[in-house]
Amino acid sequence: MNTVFEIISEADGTVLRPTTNLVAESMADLRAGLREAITDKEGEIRIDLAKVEFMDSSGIGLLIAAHNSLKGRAAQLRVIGASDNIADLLTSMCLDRHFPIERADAS
Amino acid sequence: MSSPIHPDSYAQPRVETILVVDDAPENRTLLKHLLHAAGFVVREAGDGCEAIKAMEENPTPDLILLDVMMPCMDGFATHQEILKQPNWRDIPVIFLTALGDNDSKMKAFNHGAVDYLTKPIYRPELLARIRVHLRFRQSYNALVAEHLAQLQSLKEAQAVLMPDPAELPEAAFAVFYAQLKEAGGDFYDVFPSGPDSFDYIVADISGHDLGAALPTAALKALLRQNAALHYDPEESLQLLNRHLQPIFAPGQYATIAYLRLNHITGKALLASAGHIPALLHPEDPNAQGTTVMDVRGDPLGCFDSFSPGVARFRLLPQQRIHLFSDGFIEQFQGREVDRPTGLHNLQTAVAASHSLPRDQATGTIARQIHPDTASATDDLLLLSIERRE
Repeated sequence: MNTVFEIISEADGTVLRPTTNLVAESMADLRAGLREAITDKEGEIRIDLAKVEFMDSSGIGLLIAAHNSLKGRAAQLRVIGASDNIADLLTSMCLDRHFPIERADAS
Repeated sequence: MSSPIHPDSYAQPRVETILVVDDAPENRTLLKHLLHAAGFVVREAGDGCEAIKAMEENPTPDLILLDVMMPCMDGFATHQEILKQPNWRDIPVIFLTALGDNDSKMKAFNHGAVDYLTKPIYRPELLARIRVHLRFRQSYNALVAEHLAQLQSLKEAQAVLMPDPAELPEAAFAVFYAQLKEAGGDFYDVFPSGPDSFDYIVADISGHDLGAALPTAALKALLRQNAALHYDPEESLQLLNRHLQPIFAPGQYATIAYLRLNHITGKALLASAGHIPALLHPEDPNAQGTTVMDVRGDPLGCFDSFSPGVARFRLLPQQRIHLFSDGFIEQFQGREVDRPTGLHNLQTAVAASHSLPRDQATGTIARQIHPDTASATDDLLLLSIERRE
């Protein structure tokens, strides 16, 4: 039972929706939940940030780790449902050069 | 500190492989004989498309001789494809071509070629240049290996010395630093990088897990070492990215703002690896406001493909530039704020400090943003730099 991600299987991939903010205090659970959720998954892994209001540096690290973990396998990361603030934060660090980032109004 | 040398490296010297890319079979044959006789393993490709396929075979070539005019994909396009692969990017490429004009030569160098030879080739010169570039690459790889060894050996170091502005007056900087985490996190450094220039670093290593955090002392040592080897900030960050990747835990990264300033000419280069913007006072000392220098680049140590943001500008006498850590824009007077709001608040505080001497300005800015530093949840670091008088 994954307590920090809602997991929705779709035809071309999997949606992972964190149910908590991506911050250091929740990071142990988030890392374990992500590892469990993406094991053996193929296709596109879409991390949906619809319920995430705040993200700190450890949250950014979680997305980077997810991307690097999926890279080289038959899977890739897409971030969807990001609020403008979070999307601005991620793009200001050029993470959109490495994986797609979609804002909430685009998804 | 020297890296240990394995005895086998003396017993069995490695034979280097050279990829010859040329659409003329007679040229390939000529080069093959020449290079074989000189002790190299030679692999051939008849055009750019074949060259990319040949690159994927083991072992990866140590050097590439690349003709410019070829069918399928010309030499310049082939080189661009090679540069896209992180593992191939450091392989020296020598262009060989009948095009001897300066424009073609400059185009090759602008595309990242290490050398350019015009046909007909003078054989001793070609061999000499190949050996020079191979030796240079060996030295470069040895340097990377040595840096990695240094990083490992420094991993337990926790003590971090940060220069005191009073002890380095020729660097003309002031600092406000409140370290709230026990170790790791944010740090700064200031050190000379030439007779008239200084380097200024503000960096933040992600993560609060001290066991996983790269000691800032190691990162500082590498930045200083790279500067001593005449790497510019952009090159130094590129090199650091390679060093940090194997050291960092998954998802860990560093952000760095790296300024090099020539105090005589005012020539400045700001390189950023995922760091928050710098703020610059206007050129007119009577003008209000600040300029946001949003130099965007990849964070350090987490991606194979790394590209720092770079801005070149001239800092005028009495103009001031401020480098910050993100603790200054994520909170305001004890409250969490979004980054645009935080940056706006910081700009206001910086603009209001314009008339103050720099050593007073840093404290004034910090108090405006964080009247009670104990309520801050992250390290607070502000470096203010001017040209020396």
